[in-house]
Amino acid sequence: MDTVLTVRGLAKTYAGDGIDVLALRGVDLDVTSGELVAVMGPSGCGKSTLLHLLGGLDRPTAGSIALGGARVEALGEAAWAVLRRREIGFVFQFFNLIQTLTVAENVELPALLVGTPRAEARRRCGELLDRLEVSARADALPSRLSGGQQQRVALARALVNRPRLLLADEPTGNLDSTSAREVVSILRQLCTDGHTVVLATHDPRVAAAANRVIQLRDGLIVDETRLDTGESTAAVVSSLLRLEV
Amino acid sequence: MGRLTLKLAFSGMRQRRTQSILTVIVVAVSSGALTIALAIGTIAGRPFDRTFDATNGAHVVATSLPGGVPLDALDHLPGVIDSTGVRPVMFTGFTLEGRRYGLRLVGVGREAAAVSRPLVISGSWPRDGEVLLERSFADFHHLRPGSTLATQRALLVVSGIAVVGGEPYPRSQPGLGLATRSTLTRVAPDANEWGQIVGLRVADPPAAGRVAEAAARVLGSHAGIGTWIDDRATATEELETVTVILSLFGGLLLLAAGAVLATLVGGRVLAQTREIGVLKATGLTPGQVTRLLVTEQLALAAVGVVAGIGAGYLCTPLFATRSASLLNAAETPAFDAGRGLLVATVVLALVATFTFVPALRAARRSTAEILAAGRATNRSRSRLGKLVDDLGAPVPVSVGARGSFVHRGRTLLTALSLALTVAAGVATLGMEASLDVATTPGVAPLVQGGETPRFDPVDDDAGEAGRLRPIVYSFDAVLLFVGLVNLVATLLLTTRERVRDLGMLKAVGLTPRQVTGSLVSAQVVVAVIAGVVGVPLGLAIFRLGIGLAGSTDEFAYPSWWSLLLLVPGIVVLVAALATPLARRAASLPVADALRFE
Repeated sequence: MDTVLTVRGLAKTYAGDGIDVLALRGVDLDVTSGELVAVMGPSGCGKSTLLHLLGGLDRPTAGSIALGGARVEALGEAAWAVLRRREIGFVFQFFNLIQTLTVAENVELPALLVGTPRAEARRRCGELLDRLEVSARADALPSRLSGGQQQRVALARALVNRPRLLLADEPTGNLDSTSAREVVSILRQLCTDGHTVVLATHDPRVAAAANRVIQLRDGLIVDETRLDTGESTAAVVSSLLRLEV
Repeated sequence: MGRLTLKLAFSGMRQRRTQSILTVIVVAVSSGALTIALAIGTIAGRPFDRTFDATNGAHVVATSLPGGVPLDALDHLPGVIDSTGVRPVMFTGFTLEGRRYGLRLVGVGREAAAVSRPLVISGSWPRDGEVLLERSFADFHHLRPGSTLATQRALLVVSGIAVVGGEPYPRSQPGLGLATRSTLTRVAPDANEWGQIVGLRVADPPAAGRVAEAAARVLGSHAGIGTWIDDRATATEELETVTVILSLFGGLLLLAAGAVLATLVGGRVLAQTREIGVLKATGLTPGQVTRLLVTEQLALAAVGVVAGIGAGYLCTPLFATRSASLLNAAETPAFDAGRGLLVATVVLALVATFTFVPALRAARRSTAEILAAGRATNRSRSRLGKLVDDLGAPVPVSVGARGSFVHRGRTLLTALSLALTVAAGVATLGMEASLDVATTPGVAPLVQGGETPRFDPVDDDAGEAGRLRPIVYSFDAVLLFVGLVNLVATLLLTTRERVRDLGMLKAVGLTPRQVTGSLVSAQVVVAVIAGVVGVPLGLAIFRLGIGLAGSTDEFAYPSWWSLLLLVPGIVVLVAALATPLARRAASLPVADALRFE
């Protein structure tokens, strides 16, 4: 399998009021193509920071990030933006859809940004909305949608440019259990289709869908578990719950 | 609740420091603009009557030529209640910067008379060898107390400047000076070269014509007789253009001040919707929330009002002195407590209203609904955005166009404020065109002395038009400033509310430059609307002014190409102002933007 993402010694320090906060303290990570990696850990352990650094939403204090073999940690804001629109999809806990755009416009936006012809962007958008079962709401504004529907739209937007890597920060954190199960199922399917997903989550049931779970504590990876070993979901969840304690 | 309200209000001001400062600035700008507008309104309103009242003007004025009939008998005509007494009048000339100008010297006593009493606004009453100059004449030639006038026989020192009724110089020529009889003797020793003038107050001013007829019967055809009614009609007609233009600009300033207040104060309350929800969730009633917001806004507004009225009074003379001189109106006092109180009352009442209505409306919604809609946006699709899409605009422009009407009311008020600036531009162009039509006329002196030129060598551009332009351009500058303050306020509020959206745009791949472009596009859309609305609005206001003046002879419409240039002009200006602010907003790290509450 190709290595999509390689991270070495990744660190991030936030300057506080006289006290520096060490959010990440040297993370090493390799993610291969088609893999679904779940990052777990308690609040404040650095999950979101890790995803933000991987997506270029924030700058690391130290360490390296390679995407498809190319070092990217030193890229400027504009270069990161271009990289994101082509290679990285993002899904957030609070959906972060642009409220002034309709569902379809939200999904088409990244495609149009990379220069995709409007008709082609519309076709891809239609396909994704169909696949994620929200095509009936294509002309609605995000504020008219339920949380689950908004997250599906966010997923469609993240996927419209067929990115190499999908980063999902607590994608089910704001959803009811039914919607959460549906989103997890979609993420799992994406990996089967060849996408690579790194997701941060509190929820062991979500993490149970991953190929691999890494545990973060105080900015460091303290444990790593492979889950694609044929164990039952219940057993996996149970083992993850033990890790969480 | 009183102490709690104050505590929460002041903590709110501290938390939202930038917005608080912005509120103070906007209220100060509005108050200053209102102060200036009211001062100009006072001056432009019935200028002849106000000066006539202030100087206790004569209802009937009679003049006789040198060696003509004596005027003493007129004081005893039926209906006459007071008089200036018969005064000598003579015409001479003086040289200034190598050019000859006429001067009408009227003899006065050691003290001002009760009738036609000049209002000395600088310097002092003339002593022997001195001359007190009429204001518009002195202003036109830049003469000040201490300046000298070289007549053929004597050098006269300017003792002071005074407001005197009648038409201003250079419409009325030659210029007027007041001097003692002894001074007149120095200028023209032969009293046979002097004429006479007398001003009469009558018991029934509207019937001054009857006294004038009686005077004419006494004097025959050897004297000139005029009434204050004729003078007022002439002055009103001659100064119609100036009066209408000044009134129009005063009105525009009032509207702009109201629009900027409504935009910021109302917009700020709307931006606090989520905080209203939090306050309600912690147990405050809708009434308490409303009182809290009104207290907060009024406290900030009070600071702004004091600063604005202070700045207004400092700036008012820049407009008022020139305007008063132009209209020959009595000047407004440097400080007028009544006007200050009126401005403070109007502004604070507007602030209270613009706060109360949206605050109460928000406070009455359910707490959950408010919290959920903390970053409330327009709930309908943007037709404007679709139109921009259809025009094939780049993605950032399209996104920006959709963002421009997120808060429809606020955007419309900003557009209105900018449209008023454009309208002011149209009115200025109208003024320029009208001034080209209404050039300075010459008025023959009543008595023609040997050395008196018939007309002063006055350049048209240096006349009324030349003095009106700086006033109008100053108005334009203030209106533009008010409009741009409104734009900056809107931009800052909008940017603050859309921080998460901006972060999101960057997260999906917009570069900082594209985000900047998107934000600027949103403001450019507003500017285009302002331009498209402002031009016809300005023409409508200008036409209304012409209608009020009741005559079209003195006015001309601006050229079509100059009107067309106004729209790109305002767009470029808005883009130039919005770009650095947008760039700053776009530079916020994505992760910080997405965490923004």
